[in-house]
Amino acid sequence: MSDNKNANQTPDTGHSWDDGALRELLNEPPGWWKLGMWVSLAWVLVYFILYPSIPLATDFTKGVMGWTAIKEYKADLKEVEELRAPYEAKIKKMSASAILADSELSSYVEKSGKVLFGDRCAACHGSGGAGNPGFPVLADDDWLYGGDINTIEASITDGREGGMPAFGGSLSAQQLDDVTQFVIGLAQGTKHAAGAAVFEEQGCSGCHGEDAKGVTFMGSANLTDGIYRFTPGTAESVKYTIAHGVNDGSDPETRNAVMPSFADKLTETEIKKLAVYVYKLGGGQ
Amino acid sequence: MLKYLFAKNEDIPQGSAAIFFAFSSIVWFVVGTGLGSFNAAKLAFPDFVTGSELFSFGHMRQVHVLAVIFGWISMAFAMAMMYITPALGNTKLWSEKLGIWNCFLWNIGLSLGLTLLWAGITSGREYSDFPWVIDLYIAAFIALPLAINVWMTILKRRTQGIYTTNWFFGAGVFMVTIVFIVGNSPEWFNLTGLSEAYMTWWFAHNVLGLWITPIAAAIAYYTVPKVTGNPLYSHRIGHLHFWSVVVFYSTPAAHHLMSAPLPEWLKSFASVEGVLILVPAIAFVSNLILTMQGKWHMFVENVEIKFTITGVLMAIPLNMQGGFQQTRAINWYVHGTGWIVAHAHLALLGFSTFLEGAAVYYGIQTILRRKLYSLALANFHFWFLLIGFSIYWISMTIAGLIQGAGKIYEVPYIDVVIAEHPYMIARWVGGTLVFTGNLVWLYNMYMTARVGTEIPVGRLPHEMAYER
Ligand code: HEC
Ligand code: HEC
Ligand code: HEM
Repeated sequence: MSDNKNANQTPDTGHSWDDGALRELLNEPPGWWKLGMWVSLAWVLVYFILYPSIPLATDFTKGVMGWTAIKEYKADLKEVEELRAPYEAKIKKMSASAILADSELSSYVEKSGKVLFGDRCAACHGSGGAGNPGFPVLADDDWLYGGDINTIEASITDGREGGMPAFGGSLSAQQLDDVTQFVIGLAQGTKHAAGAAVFEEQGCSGCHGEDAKGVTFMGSANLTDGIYRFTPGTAESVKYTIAHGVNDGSDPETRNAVMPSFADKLTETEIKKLAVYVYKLGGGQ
Repeated sequence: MLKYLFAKNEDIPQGSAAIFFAFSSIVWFVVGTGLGSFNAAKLAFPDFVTGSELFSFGHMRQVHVLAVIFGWISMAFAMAMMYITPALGNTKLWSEKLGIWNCFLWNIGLSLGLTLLWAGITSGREYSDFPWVIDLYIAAFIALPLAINVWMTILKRRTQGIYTTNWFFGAGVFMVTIVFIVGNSPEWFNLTGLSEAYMTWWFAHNVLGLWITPIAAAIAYYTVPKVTGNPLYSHRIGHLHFWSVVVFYSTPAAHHLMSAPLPEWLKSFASVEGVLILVPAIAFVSNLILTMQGKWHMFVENVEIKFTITGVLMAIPLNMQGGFQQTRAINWYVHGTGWIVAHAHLALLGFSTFLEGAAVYYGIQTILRRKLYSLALANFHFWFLLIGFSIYWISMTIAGLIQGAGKIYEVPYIDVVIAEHPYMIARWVGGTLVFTGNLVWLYNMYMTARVGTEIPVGRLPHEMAYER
């Protein structure tokens, strides 16, 4: 054996395997490792004395600290709840608009509203209410149903489902193009006479209003502000909305727009918090 | 393979079973990492392959996980056992024929099981996802024949004493059979609720702790002394490692359920044992590192040592993570996040895969007595695995920390999803590198079997690596 293979000339076990290729030496484990082992075992002993750990016939040792995870959890929770209690009690009794008026409460509510919004609303409305394709932006001051605090509260509590019939079947291709151009023109300040006529004849104005600025009680969108509910606001997508309508069950390609009701998913307090949070996102109306 | 199924045992060339296992394992590795890469793409690009139930993440995830564990890792283990166990006993495999049947039934059973999972037929318990028929099949036709072959070979050895590797092999095949039967008890006895959860993790934990980790270590105990020519540094440390794994490692199963309403003492017990496992783990690493004395140049020059020592070194961060992430103080933060996914891949794709890779490289060359077709391609494979894995591990660890922070500080879920998106893409890139490396490996090993230079009697493959 060359020294290279067994530098310290330690004896081996006397056995060999694989036609003599493998042997095992009788080296002791390194000292630092043994120390580590004893320290670990000592630590285990200490841990077993301090914490619940050893099973007995029908019970187990509780540890001298009397600690359990559930006790710690309950203590933490109690601490948080005590901090919040005075605010929560007030919120419970006040209306959303009153909370909004109270600057201390409304900044408290904004913080918990943010978490609630992230968990319950952001999947549709986007992080911070920034909107998603097909789901309205809440962080601006353009509202379908109205942006005062009570209307927002109603939107959340009862849900919303705007309805617009599909016009694809009743309009000719020419009429569809004309009215699309008219709608696009509204925001750009250009006029389109033929389209305006269609808008009038087909009863668009009945829902969207003579001035096409929308009617909040039915959530018919304002067509003049250049902010589109269904993005992108190109001629093509506007045409699509007109041809297929919104929530029109008779057209399989209709646009979907359902805001679920949260009346039985959230508590009244939570809805109030959200209303204040959403109101503040849009800067208030 | 088929022609050997009905041949006489004496007519089957020695090592055939190992070779079939070797190539099966490589193919499963390619398939498994391909599936992994596909799943990673789904998490990185949500619109990638939609509209079909079969290709949804929920159907594909288990197929990946079980293909790599029972296809790649376990078949590579079987391959290692079929050639290392007899070599260590200066004897032949007890029954080549049983080995061939074992490999054949293994491939059939695994394909069937994975197809069922793919179709959504599952027990619904992570890692023991296979329906009970497949569990029985695995115990009876996969684990048991392997155990018999290994045990009989050890009993028929022509050496005195049993080398460390064979202690682990012998114990491992026995323990995995027991783990399979006991671990699936929720299925046999309709356990539900907390008992089901506990047994699920008892199974998962022990497949890792009593099968994957010790067998991978056993392989390193063989490869390092064999290839370097150095004797194993310490018989005593081998003993300590073996007995502490066997005695202690089955108890920490509850550390996977630290936030579940399990009895408090059980969680303490599991957590303490989980930390304690560091002691044998470090013993194992130091035993092999000390065996390397005077041979460190081989870490650079030799493929098998490069793989093995890389794997062995990965055991250090792996066990540090494992030991501490399961304590109550840390677990509440990382539980249920990508951190754990990173850890799982450090164990399986890092530590264990590198050790088995070495065994398969070495075994194919020794049994077929053919030199590696291309050393360059083997190095390419090594680096693709290492770099791919590193990207995977780093990105998932960061993603996990983000998720943990999101969980604790009540950051809206959607914001967390947005924040971790870049890391999901990085994970996919890393995983795809691993997959690419494996395709190259399959080609290299196929060519080795076909056209590799013959190794003359009396020489070892690694001695000839640089000869033309
Ligand atoms: C399933 C998706 C979805 C979820 C979840 C959702 N919304 Fe909506 N929300 C909508 C849609 C769609 C509309 C538009 C309805 C319409 O066009 O008629 C809407 C409309 C609204 C409006 C009226 C906007 C306006 O311009 O008048 C408010 C306010 C609102 N949502 C708040 C919330 C809050 C607060 C939450 C969380 C509690 C929430 N939404 C959760 C889909 C959703
Ligand atoms: C029955 C009432 C009703 C009629 C009639 C109606 N609309 Fe609408 N329209 C709505 C409502 C309500 C919405 C908003 C839907 C929503 O967001 O849920 C809407 C939305 C739209 C939008 C999408 C606005 C945006 O911001 O993306 C366009 C464009 C539009 N209407 C054009 C028309 C035109 C053109 C006609 C006539 C051909 C018409 N509508 C007739 C009720 C109506
Ligand atoms: C191409 C390389 C690989 C990729 C891209 C990959 C990808 C993935 C993905 C996406 C998941 C699901 C993680 C989640 O739920 O978030 C996963 C899980 C898993 N993979 Fe891989 N994988 C790869 C290789 C491997 C290998 C080689 C092994 C083992 C040898 C492995 C073992 C596992 C295991 C055990 C899980 C379950 C993790 C858990 O339960 O948390 N993977 N893998």
